Amino acid sequence: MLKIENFAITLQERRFMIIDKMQVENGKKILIFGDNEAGRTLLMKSIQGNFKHHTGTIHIKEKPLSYFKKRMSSILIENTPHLLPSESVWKNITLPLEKVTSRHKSRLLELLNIAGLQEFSNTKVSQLSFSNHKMIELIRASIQLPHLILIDDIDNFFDEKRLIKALQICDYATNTGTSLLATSKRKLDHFDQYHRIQDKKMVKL
Amino acid sequence: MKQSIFLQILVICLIVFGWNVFHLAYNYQRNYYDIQLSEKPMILVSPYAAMLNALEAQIDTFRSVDFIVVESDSVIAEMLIESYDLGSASDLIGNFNLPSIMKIYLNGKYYDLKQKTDLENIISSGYPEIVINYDDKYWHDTQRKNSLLFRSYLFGNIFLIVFLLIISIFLRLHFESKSNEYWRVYKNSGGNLRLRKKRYWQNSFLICFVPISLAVGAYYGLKYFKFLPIDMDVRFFAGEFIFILLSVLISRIILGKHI
Repeated sequence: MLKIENFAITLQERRFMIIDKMQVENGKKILIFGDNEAGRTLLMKSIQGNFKHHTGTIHIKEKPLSYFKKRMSSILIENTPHLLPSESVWKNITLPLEKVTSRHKSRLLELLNIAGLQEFSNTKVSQLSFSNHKMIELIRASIQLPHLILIDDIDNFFDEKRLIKALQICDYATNTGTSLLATSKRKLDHFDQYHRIQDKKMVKL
Repeated sequence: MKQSIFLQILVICLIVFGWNVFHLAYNYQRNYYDIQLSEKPMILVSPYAAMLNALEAQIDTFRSVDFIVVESDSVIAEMLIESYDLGSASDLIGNFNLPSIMKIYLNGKYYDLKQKTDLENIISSGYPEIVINYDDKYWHDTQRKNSLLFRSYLFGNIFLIVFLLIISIFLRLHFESKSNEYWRVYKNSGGNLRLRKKRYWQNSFLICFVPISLAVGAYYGLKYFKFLPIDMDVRFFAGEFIFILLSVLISRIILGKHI
């Protein structure tokens, strides 16, 4: 699914987040953890194609990022929520879908149920908590079945209990081949693979 | 967003309708002046009917000449006898050498300075005996009014074009920048990256065609039900369409990579 080779972020003559080779298989949940300033967010942005100050190559499904022009190959859930606060939960979740099929509807209701948001589907997003915002973004990403779901600083949004629910939501996508790549400051449970950033370099545990 | 497009279409419709009313009003006033001018014939008086007939053959093809009526001396004598009940004096009148007259009914639309000069040159150089009787002052007054009307029409059009461009570009830029947040969220949520551009052109299509279609429909509807006595050149609608299209293109250039 994801293949990164000879990767390094270069900012103001500083070279960090060095990855010699990283390969993520279909349907796997990967956690990358490391200290602040390690370059976790920039790695996520690089994979999404929004950050260009890096060397090396990133391929998704054997194709370079420039191949994906119509739709992003990955969906990044950043610290800042990308939601329409004055719109309902349902509107926000179905926003990127060109057509909401009955299959989508039933799946979305299931996922909302897992997140504990079923009764809030008509509620304005601005009335919900930050953690719920992230749940909404996660449901919205999962329902689209992208190649990759990227979650930056996952430990900022969810406690242990909510994390399990969040990963359950992601299972809807990972079961169909989507890979999940999350970052955090510390090691969290329930992931398939772990990568640690130490001495500016990423190592597989 | 649908509301914003509806509002833009509504505003452009109002401007286009106002522009058409302005154009029709100009046509109406212009027609009125032309008709007034057409109703005042040029009267030529000559002692020789043959001379008038020769002149008639020469100027009959003039664009500014609508039709010509020649009244020979015998016809005039009959008219005098009939009008003043001079039956008993008919023999006496018959002995007088009455002149013939020619009435030239002019087409006010085409009777401009050039046509007037040409016509008068032909008469004065070829037929110096003919006496011309025409209200030159009225003609000059009408020309002055026409010129003033045309200048007002020209400035009105320039104003309306600038107004249309400014309003439609401003509204487009305003609503596009207002929807920036929506599209930013849409893009980050994984939506189709090309959809915004597609929507822009879809909405542009509506903005270009709906007001013009309504204006053309209203015009032909009014013509069909005979509510509108004045004709309008269909090319005028094409002109309006071009300026709306221009506003769409200018807005697109200004927006550049923002969409």
